[in-house]
Amino acid sequence: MAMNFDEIKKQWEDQSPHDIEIEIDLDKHNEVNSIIDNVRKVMKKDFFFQLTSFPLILLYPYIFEVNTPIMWFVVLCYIVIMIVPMRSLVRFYNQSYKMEFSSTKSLNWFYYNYKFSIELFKIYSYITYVLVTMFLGIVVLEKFSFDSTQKSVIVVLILIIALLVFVLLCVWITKWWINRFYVKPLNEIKQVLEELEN
Amino acid sequence: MNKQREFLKLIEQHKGILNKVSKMYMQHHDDQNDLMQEIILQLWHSYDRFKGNSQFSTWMYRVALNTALTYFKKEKRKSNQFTFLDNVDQAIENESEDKEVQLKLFYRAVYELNKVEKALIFLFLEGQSHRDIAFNLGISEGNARVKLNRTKEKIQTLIKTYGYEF
Repeated sequence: MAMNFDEIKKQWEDQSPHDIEIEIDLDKHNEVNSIIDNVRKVMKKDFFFQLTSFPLILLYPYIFEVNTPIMWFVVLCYIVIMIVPMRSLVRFYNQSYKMEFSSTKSLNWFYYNYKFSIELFKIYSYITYVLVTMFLGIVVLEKFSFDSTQKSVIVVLILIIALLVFVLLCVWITKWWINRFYVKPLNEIKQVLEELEN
Repeated sequence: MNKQREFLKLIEQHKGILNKVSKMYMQHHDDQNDLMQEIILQLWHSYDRFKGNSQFSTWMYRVALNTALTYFKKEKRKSNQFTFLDNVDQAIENESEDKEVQLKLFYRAVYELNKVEKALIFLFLEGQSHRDIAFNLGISEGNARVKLNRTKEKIQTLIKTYGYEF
């Protein structure tokens, strides 16, 4: 049996679409499994997590009973730092279903915006950890009085080490989180882009 | 609601494209349906931006292919699933000249291609010129020609390894 592309083309055209059932109610169509859907799902979860932390941060000075100007300055810094990247991430989320351009353009758009969003999320998270560390440092400084005794010096040293460990742990968790949920889709898109380019 | 009705009418008219893209990218019936559902959803999400400057089918090709290119779902297993390739060897023994068998062999080879090669061969079979293929994929015309020729050669080689002439 000898095959050729002309014959395959003919067979291809003869495939009947009549037996295909299309779901009428579009609301029943769920997001399934494209990279974009997966990215959107993770982003949505993270967004709501960040959103719940927003009112909480305003309560912290009262919860820890450290209602001082320096504390409110740190809280203000946190809010400003939070708003700018969040706005950018929301914009990316809303535009993420841009699929009507050529494949290279659509995938490049998604790849670079997604990559930028990951970097933004990373920077934003690291700054947050520094601010939280400052926050905790202020709480301790305001709540406890330290003198120059050896005991106090040791306590301060332990405090500094504990805060440092806290920051390092947070950075490690962020890296793990990003690798676990964000990097895989990025690599998959990159693979398709490489196939298009090579 | 009118917009939704209008959209579904267009989908109904062009469902052949959806069927062919899904078959091209997914081997099993359930997975093909899932991909088709995903494409319809993406088309619906993008429908607001469809201005009618091009034909609906042209726009649909792009959204459908871009969705398929970004679809990375693991295929469901064959065990209890219907797959239209299951009886290909038996069919060839019984009716060696059957054109349907040729198409099945072709699909078998297609499932060994990468995502971009599938897109290239799909657009070729849909009768698109090198220029249109290049335009849809966003690559140069020369690149589209070279890639398409390589893909055709790959399919020929694969089918020969199955023991059939091409």
